[in-house]
Amino acid sequence: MGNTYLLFIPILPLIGFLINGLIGHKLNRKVVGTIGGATVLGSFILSLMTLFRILGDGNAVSYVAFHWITIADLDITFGFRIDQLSAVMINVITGVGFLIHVYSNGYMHEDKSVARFFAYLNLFVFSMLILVMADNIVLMFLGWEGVGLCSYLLIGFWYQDMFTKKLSNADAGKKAFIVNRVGDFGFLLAIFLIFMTFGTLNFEQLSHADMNIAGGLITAITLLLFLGATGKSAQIPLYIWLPDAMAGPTPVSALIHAATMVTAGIYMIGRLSFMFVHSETTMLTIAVIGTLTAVFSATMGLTQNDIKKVLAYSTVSQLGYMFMAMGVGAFSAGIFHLMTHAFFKALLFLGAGSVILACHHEQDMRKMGALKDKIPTTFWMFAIGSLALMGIPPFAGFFSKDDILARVFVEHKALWALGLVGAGMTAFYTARMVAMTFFGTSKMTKKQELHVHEPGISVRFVLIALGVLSAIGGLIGIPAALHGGAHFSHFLDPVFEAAQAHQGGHHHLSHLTEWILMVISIAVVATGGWLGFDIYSKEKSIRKNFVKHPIGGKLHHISYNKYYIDEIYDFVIVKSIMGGSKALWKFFDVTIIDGFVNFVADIVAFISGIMRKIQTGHTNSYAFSIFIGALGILIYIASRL
Amino acid sequence: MQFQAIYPGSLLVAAAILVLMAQSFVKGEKKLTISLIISLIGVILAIFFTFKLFGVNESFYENALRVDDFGVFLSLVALIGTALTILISAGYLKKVKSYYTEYYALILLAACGMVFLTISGDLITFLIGLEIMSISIYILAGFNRESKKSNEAAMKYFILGAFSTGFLLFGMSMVYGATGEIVISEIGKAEKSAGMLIGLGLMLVGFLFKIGAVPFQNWVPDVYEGAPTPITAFMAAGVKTAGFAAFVRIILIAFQNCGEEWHTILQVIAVLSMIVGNVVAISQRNIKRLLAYSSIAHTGYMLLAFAAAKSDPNMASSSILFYLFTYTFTVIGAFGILIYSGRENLDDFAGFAHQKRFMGIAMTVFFFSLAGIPSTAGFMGKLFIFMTAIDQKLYWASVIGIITSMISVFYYLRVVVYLYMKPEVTRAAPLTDWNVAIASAVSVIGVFVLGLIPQSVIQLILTTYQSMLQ
Repeated sequence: MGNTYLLFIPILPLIGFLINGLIGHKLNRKVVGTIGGATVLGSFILSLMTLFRILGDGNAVSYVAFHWITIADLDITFGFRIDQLSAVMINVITGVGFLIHVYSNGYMHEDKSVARFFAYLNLFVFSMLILVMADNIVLMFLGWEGVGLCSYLLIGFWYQDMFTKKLSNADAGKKAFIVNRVGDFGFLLAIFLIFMTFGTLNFEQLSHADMNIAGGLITAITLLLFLGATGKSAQIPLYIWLPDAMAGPTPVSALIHAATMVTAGIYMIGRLSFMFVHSETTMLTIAVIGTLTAVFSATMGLTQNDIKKVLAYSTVSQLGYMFMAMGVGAFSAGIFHLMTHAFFKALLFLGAGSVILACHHEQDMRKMGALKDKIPTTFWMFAIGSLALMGIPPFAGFFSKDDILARVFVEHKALWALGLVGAGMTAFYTARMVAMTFFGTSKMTKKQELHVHEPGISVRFVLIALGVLSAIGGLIGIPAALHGGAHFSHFLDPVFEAAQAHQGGHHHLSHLTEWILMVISIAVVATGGWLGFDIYSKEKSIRKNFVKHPIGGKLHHISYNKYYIDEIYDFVIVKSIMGGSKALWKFFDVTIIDGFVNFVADIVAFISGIMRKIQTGHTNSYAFSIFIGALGILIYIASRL
Repeated sequence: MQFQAIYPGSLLVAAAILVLMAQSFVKGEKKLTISLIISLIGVILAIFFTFKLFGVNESFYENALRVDDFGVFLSLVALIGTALTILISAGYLKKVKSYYTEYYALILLAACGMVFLTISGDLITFLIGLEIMSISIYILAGFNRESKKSNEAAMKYFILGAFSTGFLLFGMSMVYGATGEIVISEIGKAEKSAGMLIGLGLMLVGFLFKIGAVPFQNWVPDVYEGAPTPITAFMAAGVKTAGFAAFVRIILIAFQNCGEEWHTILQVIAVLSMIVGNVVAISQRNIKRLLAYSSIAHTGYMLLAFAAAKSDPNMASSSILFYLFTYTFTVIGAFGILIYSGRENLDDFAGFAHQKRFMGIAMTVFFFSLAGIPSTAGFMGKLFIFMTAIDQKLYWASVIGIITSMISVFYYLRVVVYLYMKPEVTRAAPLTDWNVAIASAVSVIGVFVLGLIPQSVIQLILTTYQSMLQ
């Protein structure tokens, strides 16, 4: 029973949630913030302890709190199992989570409902921990739904806004919600199919199960799981909610929509890697979708003017790289990038938060500029984050992204080429963002400029901490070609052993090839970065000419409008469901006669002609409906006689 | 032993008579308090004596009663529903200033009907139980005499109920004609015949009407909206539980040889109910009406598991039983909050959670449970239903079920959004009512216990199908 302490890793934030949620409004805001942060810090310390234990003997740690559901041979426990993979995850979640709690203390100090904010944030950390610590899929699903719920609550946090300027906060929450339903549908169906096929939902037992049964079924299961992953991790075609989710407070964007929740899909594939590798189709789908998302959203990042939108598209794109890695079986590379990305993207979001605060809640980069000397700490840390994102050695992003690209090169040359193009674009938009925000000439009024100030000490501390991690976090994964030990990947080996055994080991690149690949990618990144910086830090006419050029202007317009994907989705999905519901309602309650403007009108109008006669509120028409139903049943019975 | 089998029912009738007599001796508000106490004691005693019937598994009175774990469990669920209904009724009667204590007597009589429905061993007991329950509910639905809607609801429910009972009776006589038997277990031994099948079809109409499945559901929204709110809760929980109890028993035992037929019919009806209930609920802004459509959808989920009973009756009936238990707490809790707040429209609930913090949390819990969010009872119930259905390879119906239940999360969560994320409407906060508060607290506990530690209940349920066969 020496593992009971594992229970406290998720329980501590839950306690924080309960205190802040129930009596937080009566407490001093400092107390609220301290409770919020301290509980997560406690979890972080316990997570570190667990990590060192696993580093020590390499054995997974597990703890079963109680048996949740036991029916015949099905045994679903409320239990946790921490192996190398989940050890990395819990440390990222609680570590970055703690820093973001500290940051929020400074960031949200003017907000009225700070208790509610910290309550949601703690509930999120709790759910996320359950998600990664669970030893079975059902418990994982509990966390999965929980994080979705918190994300929804936090996106709509500033709900008052929707009655004033930003009409979109509640709508953004709604979009996140609907899209995630689609993903959850896949996940749930997969759970039921897994149970039907293997008779167990426990990860440990599943990993020993015989996966060679019914090839089509395993593809169906893994594809459905992947559908769930695309919803949560914002991949094509379900990525549309993430950029809109930026309507929430910036610490939320950093924690949920960059560092942790959106990586849940990657984690799930890693957790079930032994299952995914049994379907070539699924693996290829993941690789292709990941690559397409990586490149596609990078192109959208090129033209956004809202600093948080740039980071949002960048997140979608980086998640694409992670999926790309998972798809080619480079699981540890994917998880490595997940971790480094958590560091530098959280840093970039929090840095952007400081910039936004400094500029009085201005998010449009066209109205910034020349902030370099006014907020130096923010600038330097933001720059480190940017270099890490671009993939400039020796910053964290370089090692992880290069690891992925090298592995993709072995499996699919075409995907590698696309990935490289994406990396170039990433460098471009990152440099563009830095240039527009911190360099060039200031676009602010004199009065605004006077108010530009560095954030408080706690915020700066967090930025520096994340800056250090982004700068050196990649060093634990230096590949052998650079005389490193690739410690990170070896650490994760036991988790992916089964999957890699099935793949029959992968071809190792010669060190020379690896060197060449590295040089190529550095060259592409440097070019992209230099272009982006050069064009946007000075008032170059090339930029204006591009927009004025007939084709260039169109391209810019399409990219800026995100390929009109939102509009298409709105028309096809939202309008049809809402339209369908309203139309049906009209059959049942004959109060509204107008309407029928949606595109299903013609079909429904015909049915409604019949239905309306029945659904009038008149008893005799209800009786008629019963009669029709009875007739239907009897006709069927008659056909069986 | 055979007297013990009728203890619960008799106690309920005795309590009803006491309530009726008590009003000759006390007047005014005291009358309400006395009736409330008598009713609660009656129900709690009934629960106690029902509990003692676990493990009996015998037939009594020439097979008129069949006391087995299946029936006893559902009796308990119905009686727990009754107790909670009585608690929220106390709040309601105080709010509308109604002093007619016949109300409690009628609830107790309906509960007596429910108890006999759940343990009926032959078709006659079944019909009598059904009518005792239904007639009491018809009157209760129209209890709010001042309200036109309430009167209309009662009238509609009565006429259509009579209509559907006609089908039921006709079906029963067909079955009797074909088999010469009225004892449920004996009918099950008969060969499949044309008379049996026609009887099955006709009886299905009656059952599906009572539980509110499409296309026999039209009365549900009107009656749910018009009836006094506690009675609506009683219909959604108690009536549905008792209806399902008899339905499952008669189909699984008496019609066990007609599996092919009811399997197909129930699957179609389940799909229709899930679609109509969930899709139409989206456009409802009156929460009573919303919950009415939602109840149609929940009936659909249970019918989905029911359809799976052809190949795995044990898991199917277990998941229906579990679902009914979860639904009882959830739905009575939700209606209880409507009574407490004195509001029915979605817009009126804007910011309610900021006025009444704990009631807001309770309402959130109930709607999460209805939506099937993990860690609540509703999730566990849906998990069983869909696991059973997919395990028995009802793929398409299950996919439709999962899709529609995903859609349903939208309208349930919208209520929660109104509770927390809309600016408060300037309305006086409701006064605290302890009866409703207790019912809500019990329901919240029920929702979490069944969602987080359901194991003991599951163990109890898993043997109930076997108990019917013994």
